[in-house]
Formats: sequence, structure tokens, C-alpha cells
Amino acid sequence: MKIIINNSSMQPLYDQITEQIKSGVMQGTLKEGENLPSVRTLAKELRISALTVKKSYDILEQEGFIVTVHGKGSFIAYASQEFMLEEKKKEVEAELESAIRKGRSCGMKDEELTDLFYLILED
Amino acid sequence: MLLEMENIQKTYGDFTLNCSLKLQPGYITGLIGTNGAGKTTLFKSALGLITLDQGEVKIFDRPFSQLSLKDRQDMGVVLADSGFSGYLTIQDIARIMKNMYQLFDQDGFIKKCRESGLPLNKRGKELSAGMKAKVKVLAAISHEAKLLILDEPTAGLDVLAREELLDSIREYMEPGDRSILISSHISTDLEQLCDDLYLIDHGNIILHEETDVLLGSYGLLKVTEEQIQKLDKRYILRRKKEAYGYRLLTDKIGFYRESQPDIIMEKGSVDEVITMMIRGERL
Amino acid sequence: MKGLLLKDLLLLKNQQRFFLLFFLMSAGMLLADFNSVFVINYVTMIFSLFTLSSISYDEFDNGYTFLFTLPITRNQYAAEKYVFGVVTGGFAWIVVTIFAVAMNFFRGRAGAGELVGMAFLYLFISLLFLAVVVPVQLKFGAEKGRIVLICIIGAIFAAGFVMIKAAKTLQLDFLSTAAASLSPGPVRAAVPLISLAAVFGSYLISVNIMKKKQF
Repeated sequence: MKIIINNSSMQPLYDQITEQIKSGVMQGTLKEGENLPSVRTLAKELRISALTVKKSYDILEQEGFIVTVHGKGSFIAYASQEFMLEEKKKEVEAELESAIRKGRSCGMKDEELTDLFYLILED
Repeated sequence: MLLEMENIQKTYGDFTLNCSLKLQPGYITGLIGTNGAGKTTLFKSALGLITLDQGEVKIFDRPFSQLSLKDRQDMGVVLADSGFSGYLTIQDIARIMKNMYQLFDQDGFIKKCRESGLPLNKRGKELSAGMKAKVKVLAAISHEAKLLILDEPTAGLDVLAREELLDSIREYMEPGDRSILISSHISTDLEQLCDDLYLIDHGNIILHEETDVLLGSYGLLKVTEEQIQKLDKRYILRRKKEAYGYRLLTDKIGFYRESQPDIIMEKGSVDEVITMMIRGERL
Repeated sequence: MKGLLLKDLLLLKNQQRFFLLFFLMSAGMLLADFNSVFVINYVTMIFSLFTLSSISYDEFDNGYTFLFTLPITRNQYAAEKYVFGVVTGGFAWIVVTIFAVAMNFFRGRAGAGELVGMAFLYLFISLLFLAVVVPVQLKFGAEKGRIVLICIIGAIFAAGFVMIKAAKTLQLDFLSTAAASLSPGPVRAAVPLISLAAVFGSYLISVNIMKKKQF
């Protein structure tokens, strides 16, 4: 998979990289066990500081998406895909909760909310 | 620590260099400043070319005076205004380098020179500025040096030549056991290459920051007179009066993006940060 | 030091024409039966002067700044200048001496041994010359150095002249009788020793000069 960064975006570079790797995993373009390019190689290709790449790799490792083996490089962790899906499901759940709260706070009834939900689903 | 300069001081007439700098293993550290800011003086002190009034320089964790010739062979240097005699050809330089550096890859060097279209048998003074710069850098990266000290290696080069040179430097870093201290007055070159940057002005380091943080967390706020009154100024480093009100430099743009999203903001660039740090007033 | 020698030899390439011209000139002089010893001395001295031009090349265009970032010490740099002077001067000396001896032989003259003996003497005098010019050049640089050298040589000649004049006026003939009574042996032994000592002393001075330099 190829990572493309936007130098003029307000989103920090390391965040862009982390995001793209995560979405690569979710969409299956990055397979579990796949070897990621070394920090220096990716830095060279993207024309950015190696520390930035290291930062994103560190974050990904902390969050369990990749595993770094000393001397061998970094690899997409097994069960990453499932793990990511779980994460996304939790996010959807949280957003639904927040929408329901908003609706209730401005006086909508549960029935109205359910109707609205199915209406949107059909779109 | 590959290179460590602690509280060094050197005075030339009415100019004084007074600073500290560290080059960590595996890093590309950039030194950026205008002409006359002190970059070359700093480099000369790092290389033992001038004596310091105060302070110490350590290379490979040893004082410069204690470096063996083997240590010196582990260093590669490019200087802006100085190099091999212009009366020597590239072939000559290759033969001399081979005699001075045990690990000099003569064939590799000649090959790369050929590939770059450099005429091997023309004397240095007959080469263009771009060619001269290329030879200097190629020579410095052809003997497995662990420490590269590059003073304005891209000066006088056009955009394409600069790109090529920077790419060779990036490639050189891939093995991972090398470190580079590079200076330039062209900040975009260093933005895309360096891990951390030292900003120097009038002989003093006015800022030292990781490039990542500089580009990601630093930013400019453009505010009106009214907006500045209500603004939380905790993270404002500098301000500059403009026609529309004020231009402000912050090192925590994320904070302002969340708390005051209606303010006009711009990502930090090294040029902007330098200008504001030097010309802007403190709060 | 090998690298430095190589550099200076490669730079000599730029002066090929001068070399050739010089050898031709000296060959011409010997063929025209000029005093062989004079020719040998002259050529040897001129060639050792190539050391001075090598210092010029080093100085030119901020060359020193880069040079001392290479893996060399200031000691090595100073030492190499003397070695280079001996190599270039020595080479010229050998060629011209051989040619002179050959010319002597073809002219059916005796005294080849005497000729070679004198040639050796002048080889050491060239060393002495080197011992004087190198530190001056290192300290004052190419342009100022030339002026200083002219002054020094001038001063030596003037001093010599004054001494001879003084000796004559005061009729101090004892100097010339003393000189005449000195057997050649001790003189011939003294010259090499003095010049080697001078070179060594000169080297120490040069090292000191280089150590103090800032680039």
C-alpha cells in the first residue's frame, strides 16, 4: 500500500500516516503479518523527518496495530483487522448514543428517534 | 552523542557566537539561520578549525583534541566556500581520498560521478557550481563516515539539483548507523529532511525543536484588535503588528483550534517561525 | 602523509611546462659548458621551491579550511612540506648530477669524484635553503612571504658583504688564512650536520606556526 501525505493539511503528519495505515488494515490492503518499510526508508520516500515516521510507528505499536521485532522491522499485528473493527463499532455506538442524547434533550420522543433512524437507513 | 557543543563562545570583533548544540545518534539535525547568523563559525568550532574562547566540543564523546586519525576518518565534511584545490580533477580527488580514508570506495565514487554526468578529467575550477557541490557531497558520503557535517551543501544549486542532493543524503541515512549535522538558509530543504532543527540568529540559538513538532504544533494566528483582547495568551510565543491587527506565533496550535476555531490559523512553516521568533516581539 | 604528498604531486602536473623548460635549460647550460656545480646547485634549489608553490595552492581560495577537515594533523602537514621539498629537489638533483657527470666523462675530463662531492655539498645547502623558506612561507603566506624572503636574503648578503668589507678594512686576514687552513674534511662533515639540524629546527618552528593558525 502506498502512503500519501498532505503537507498543507492541518492534520499532523504522524497522524496522517497512522490513519492511513489503520485504514489500510481495515480495508485489507495491508495484510496481517505484512512487513512495513523501515522508518528511514519510509521517511525517504515521503520526504519527511524519520522521527515523524517513528512517532506514528510507536503509536501504532502502542495501540496494538503493529509489532516491531528488533533487527527485522515492523509488521502488521495479527488480529489487527478484527481489533480495528471492534474499535470502529465502539465509535459507532458512541456516536449513536450522542445523537440519541441530543434528540432527547431537544424534546424528541423515542418513537420519533426510531422513525428517523429507519428513514436514514433506507437512504 | 555524536557531537556535543556545550556553552561554546567565540568572539570576532563585534560578533559573538554563544550556544549549545547536540547531535544524537541516528539523527539528521539541521541548523538554520540567515547569512551571518553564525552557522559557519559554529561549524568551524566543531571541526577544530578555530579555537574557542570558552566551552568544549566533543565528537564521538571525546574532546576534539583526543580524536585519533581513525576517528577523523569516520567523519565526512562538506564546506560551502572551501574544498579541494580547483586545480585537481575528479580523478585526482578520488586518488587522494583513497589515500586518506581507508574505507573510501573509489570505484563507487567514480561510478556515481559518471552517473551524475560529471567530467572526470576536468579540473575543479572548470566545473559549474552545481557540479562542484555534487563532487563535494559524493566525496563525503563515499567512505562510510558515521558523522557527516555539511555546511550549506545546497547553496547555489537549482531546485532539481537540490532535490537530487537531498535524496542522496536520505539514501545515505538508510543503514541507520549514521548521523548528520546540516546547515542551510533554505528552510524548505531542511523541513523535509531533518529530525530536529536549531534556529540561530546573531550567534544565539533562538529555538530548538523537533521538525515534527514545528510543523505540527506550531502555527500562526491572525487576529483583529478585538480578538486579541479576548484571547488566552498562554501559548503565544511572539506577536507582530499587522494592518489587520496582529500576527501571532504559537507552539500549541491544537489548543487554539479546539478552543477558538473561528480564528484564522495557518500551519507552521520553518520560515514563518524564524521570522516571528526574530522579528516578532515577546508578550 | 601519503595523501598530502599525492595531492602535491598531482598539483605539480599543472606546472609540467615549467619542468620541461627547466630541464631543457639546464641541459643546454651543461652542454654549453657552464660550471657544472653551479648548474646542479641552481636546479636543485629551484626544484625545492616547488614546496613553496604547493603551499600557495593550499592557501588559495580558502583551501586550508577544507584541508584541515581531512584526517591529517598539523604536524603531518608541516612534515610533508619538507619531504616534498626533498623529493622534488632530490629528483632534480639526481637527474642533473648524472647528466653533468656524463658530460664530464664525454669531455674526457677527470675529477668526477670531486664533482659528485661538490654536488652533495650543494644538496645539503639546498636543504638549508628549504629550512629557511618553509617556515617563512607558512607564517606569512605566499605574497607576504615572498617579500619577507627577499628581505632575509638581502639581509644575509648585506651582512656577508659588510663582514668582508670590515675584514678587509681592518686587515683581518686571519679569517681568510683560517678558512684556507681548514681541511676540507671537517667542513664537508659539518655541512650535512648543520643542514639536517637546521631542517629539524625549521620543522619544529613550522609545526608551531601551523598549530597556532586558525582557519
